[in-house]
Amino acid sequence: MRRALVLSALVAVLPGALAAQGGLSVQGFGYPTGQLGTGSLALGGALAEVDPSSAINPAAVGLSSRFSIYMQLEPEFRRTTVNGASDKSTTIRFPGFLVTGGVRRFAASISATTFLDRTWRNVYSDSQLVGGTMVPSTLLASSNGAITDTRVAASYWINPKVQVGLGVHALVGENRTEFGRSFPDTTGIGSVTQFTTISYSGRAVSAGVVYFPVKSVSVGASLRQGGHLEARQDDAALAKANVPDRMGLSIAYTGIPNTTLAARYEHTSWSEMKGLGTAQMSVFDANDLGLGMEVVGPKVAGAPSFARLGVRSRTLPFGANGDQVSERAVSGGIAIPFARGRAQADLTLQRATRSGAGASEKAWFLSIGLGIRP
Amino acid sequence: MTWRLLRAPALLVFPLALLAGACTERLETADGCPLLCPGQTLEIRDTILDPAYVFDTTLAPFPITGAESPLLLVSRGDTLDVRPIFRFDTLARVFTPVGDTARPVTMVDSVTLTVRLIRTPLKVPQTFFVDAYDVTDTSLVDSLPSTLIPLFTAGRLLGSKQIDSATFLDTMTVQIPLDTAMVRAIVTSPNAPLRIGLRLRSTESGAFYVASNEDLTDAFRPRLRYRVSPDTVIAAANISPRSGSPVTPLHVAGDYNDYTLVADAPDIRRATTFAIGGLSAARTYMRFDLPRFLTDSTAVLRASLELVQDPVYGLDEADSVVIRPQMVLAGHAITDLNRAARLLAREGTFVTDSLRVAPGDSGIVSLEINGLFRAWRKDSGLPDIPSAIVLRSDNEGFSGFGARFFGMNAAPALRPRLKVSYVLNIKFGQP
Repeated sequence: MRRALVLSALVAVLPGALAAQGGLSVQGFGYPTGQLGTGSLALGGALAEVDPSSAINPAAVGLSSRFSIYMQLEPEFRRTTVNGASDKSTTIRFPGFLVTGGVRRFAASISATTFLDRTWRNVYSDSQLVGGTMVPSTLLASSNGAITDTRVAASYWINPKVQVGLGVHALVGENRTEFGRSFPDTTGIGSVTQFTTISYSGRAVSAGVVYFPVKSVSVGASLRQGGHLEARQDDAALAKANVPDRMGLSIAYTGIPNTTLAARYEHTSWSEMKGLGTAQMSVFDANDLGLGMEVVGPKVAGAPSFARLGVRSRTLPFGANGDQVSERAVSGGIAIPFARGRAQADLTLQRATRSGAGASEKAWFLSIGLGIRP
Repeated sequence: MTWRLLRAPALLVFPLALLAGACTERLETADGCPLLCPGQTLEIRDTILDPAYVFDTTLAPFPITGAESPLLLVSRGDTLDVRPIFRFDTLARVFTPVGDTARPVTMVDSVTLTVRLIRTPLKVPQTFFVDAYDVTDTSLVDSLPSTLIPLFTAGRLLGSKQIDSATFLDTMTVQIPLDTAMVRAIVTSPNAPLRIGLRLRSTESGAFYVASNEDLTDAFRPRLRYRVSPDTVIAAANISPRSGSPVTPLHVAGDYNDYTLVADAPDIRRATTFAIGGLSAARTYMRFDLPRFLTDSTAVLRASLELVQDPVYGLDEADSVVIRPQMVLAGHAITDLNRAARLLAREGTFVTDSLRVAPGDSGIVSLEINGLFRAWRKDSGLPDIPSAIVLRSDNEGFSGFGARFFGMNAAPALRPRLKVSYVLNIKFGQP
């Protein structure tokens, strides 16, 4: 079991795996996964600010003071349509790994979650003007890697109604890119290929609160203040910017027996990353709105199971052809305890639609989360 | 009961996780591009280097004298006349009868020279003769055409063999009977060598390859044979070509065991041009002095060496000859360009393009040599070598075909040019 956990941990901190470019969601520095746990994803992200499995609000860490490990697997099946032509692609991500534990009023967490996944591969044929002659050519461009948000967070129960938390973030990662053009042998034209690695390092701090004003209402709010974010290309300084600031607010209502209704709003100042890209990169601040409902199901092995539904609407930070990309999603899922309540399996299915720059994209997410409380 | 109902879905999570993890990832897409694929354009620049290089010269002969295999035997009227020479500088002058002691050869009989003829693309003449001449001259310069050609006289004719095309298939082993008295006189003279030149005689044009002493099949190599005794129990002398000169430099004499004498051939070289092929076959050596940024700081996509062909008339001008560029591997220390032109990268390495031209063609032809730019980078891993290539013919030494091109000293409109398309900097990675 211990070996399995170690392997899972290694897998979980890997950046997002392979995907395809030519997609709306992987523009710029990549796709923002949202750093949501599988359960929160099923509720459209609505419970994220009070979810200890989502590495967002450091105050929420204390909601799971018992030692626990949480990991996720999240394949995405995507179809991008441009001018009537469609491309299918499949991405498999391991977007999160968290370890949480606490003593008395204190709780702490260490997590590694995918901040921006920039993994894609793109091969297509076109023509290129070489020496005054148009010649057929094949272009290959790919990027593999991600920026990972590594967070150390601690929370403290001030009183039974208020819990506060503080997080320190290190944003690290790299994109290994390849760009090449090749020509048919018959042309005699040599091919060109460039391999380069862009590495990132940045820091941020976050603070949050979880507040229970009345018995049936819980409120979670958090802020992230971004510090410097630096990109280096093949070990040479490339660009500097800031980690985007973020603020989010979740409100959950549990006044209906066995039911939780939740809503969340998040705003991220992605434009603070503008200086990290070229002048051609378009970047927008983004809003994220989620609504969700969780219903307690029958007890399994002494612990409750859950059924979840959610909707989500957000904008993505990196534009396509200068246009901002919007994403709407409908999701549902279940959570089933096992091992006498010492573990829980979350399963979420999300249907997302994105649009922008005259293109559209539809995607199925299957998110599988496994929480263990030994 | 409830747990039982939910146990199956709970357990389903794990196979689902495995299934998701085992999904085949689809990587390569195209339809979203170029709309959704920014930053993937490639800025290609063009430049012309004129003249293309800083030095050219025509070098000959190739192969070097004595390294030809097979040899050539050609008679094409007053256009081409090529004759193989065989040196028998070591002859059997002593023999040992069975059960007796060694004694000197005093009798020479049944003398033959055996050679293997191989047909060439040229039609075999209806009837032709292979004449063998004694071309012995012990002077140190006896390999020079001017020395050897006058020795092909009737008085030096050792023997002749008539062959009809009907009896000649693709190859034929020919035994030329030689004059016994003439050979006996040489064998019985102490240390006298015998050097035989073959000449093709016919009313039609003819050309044959002759297996050389380096032929892989021992039975095909040339042999001089003569009986040294009337007693048939005593084996006949069977002698391979062997040259005793030149004495210096060392190890060169072996090259002259047999070699090709070009008695008459059109000289395809001309001022302000360079030549490739012909007989004796020529190679052209070109040295470039490329701007350092082109080799070290750019990716060269295309480098077309444009040559203007100068037609060569008179010999198979409509047939084709293949010309290949090969990179010179000889370092700066080798100043003998004839030697440098033999130290070449393997054919097809760095440069795969070639030219197929007819000697009588004219106009612009182009050779793609972009692979050389990578080889000539400072950090290519190759030793420090001059940026040089050699142009050589595929039929080098086997054919009289040759081609000629205007060189760097020709008029500006005619001299070689190098058209280069390159990428200065790929700006990819930063979105």
